[in-house]
Amino acid sequence: MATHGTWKRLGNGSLLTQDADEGLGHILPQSVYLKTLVTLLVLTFITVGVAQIDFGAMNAVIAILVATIKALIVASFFMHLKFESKLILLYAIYPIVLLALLVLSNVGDIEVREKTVPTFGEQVQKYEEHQKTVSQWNKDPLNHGTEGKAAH
Amino acid sequence: MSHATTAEEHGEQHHGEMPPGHFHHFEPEQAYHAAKFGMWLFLATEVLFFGGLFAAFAVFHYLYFDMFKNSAQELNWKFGFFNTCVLLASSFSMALGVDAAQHGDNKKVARCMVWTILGGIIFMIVKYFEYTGKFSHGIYPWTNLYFGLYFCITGLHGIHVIVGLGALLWIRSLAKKNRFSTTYYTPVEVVGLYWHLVDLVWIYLFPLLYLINHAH
Repeated sequence: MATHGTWKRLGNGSLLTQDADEGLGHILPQSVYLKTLVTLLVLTFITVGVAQIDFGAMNAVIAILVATIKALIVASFFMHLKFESKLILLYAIYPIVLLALLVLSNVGDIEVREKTVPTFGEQVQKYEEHQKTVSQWNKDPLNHGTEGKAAH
Repeated sequence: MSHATTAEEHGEQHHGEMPPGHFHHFEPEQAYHAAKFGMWLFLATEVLFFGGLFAAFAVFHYLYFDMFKNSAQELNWKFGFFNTCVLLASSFSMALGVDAAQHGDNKKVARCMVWTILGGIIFMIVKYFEYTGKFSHGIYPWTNLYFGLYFCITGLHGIHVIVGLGALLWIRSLAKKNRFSTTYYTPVEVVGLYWHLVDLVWIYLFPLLYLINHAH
């Protein structure tokens, strides 16, 4: 663990801390970044290739899946998330959970709503039926119960 | 506590040299971790900022499937593909820039920033040709819901690229003044995180806008 350092300005203008035993962040070999870039480019070619073939709804699923793999690679190596503290990992994950909640609850709402809430045409039809019933009641105010029952 | 005593304490602690701003109040290592954590918090808000638009895109794509499908086929995936490669390459040179800063190599940081800035500029030039191409075909943000969202999301992303370019120029000017060392490179690291997030957003934008309806 690095000991406590103090700020110091060097002659060339750079800031240095004294007594710091080790570097602050996570130093990776440069080859890691090159491998990361190559992997990302290969995945980009794959996602473009898959998009040329019609898989129906699966096109979107595959595209999002490949994009998520690419996002995880960028976050893990370019952004060093693989080597960060649990606190930073938590704050990297929580907006994604909120975003998933936002998208899934909205799409789910529409999915259910289309089946439970009547369409505009159905609403018009119901309204017209209701108007018929009302005009029936107005013509025969004493006999608006269900058919077959005697008026009181 | 008299003024003289304070001045003396400060003088002793910093050998008569004062770092800029409030830095002398903090432990350097703590300052580094606090700044990085703060950047991650900001990135969380950015994810949700773009997330609202992504949610709108998902909902309206579901509701108006044919309109979205037909509109998306107006886009040329080759522009998006080229821009994806450019942004990935600029993210790579940014990562090398952070690595150079971690090794205290200011000259290499400045060089990496030039390559990263070049990537951002090429990205924006391609976006300019895409936008003007759409306008010349009579397609505007108010043409329909798909293009409304298309211009909104890519426009917001483009603004982020321009802000990023400014930040990268700032890093380059600091590197030119030899301001970074193995124990102080926080600005390079946080600007790097921001630039990678801009790349991340585009990684999702490219398939969602250009590809998912291409083959239908």
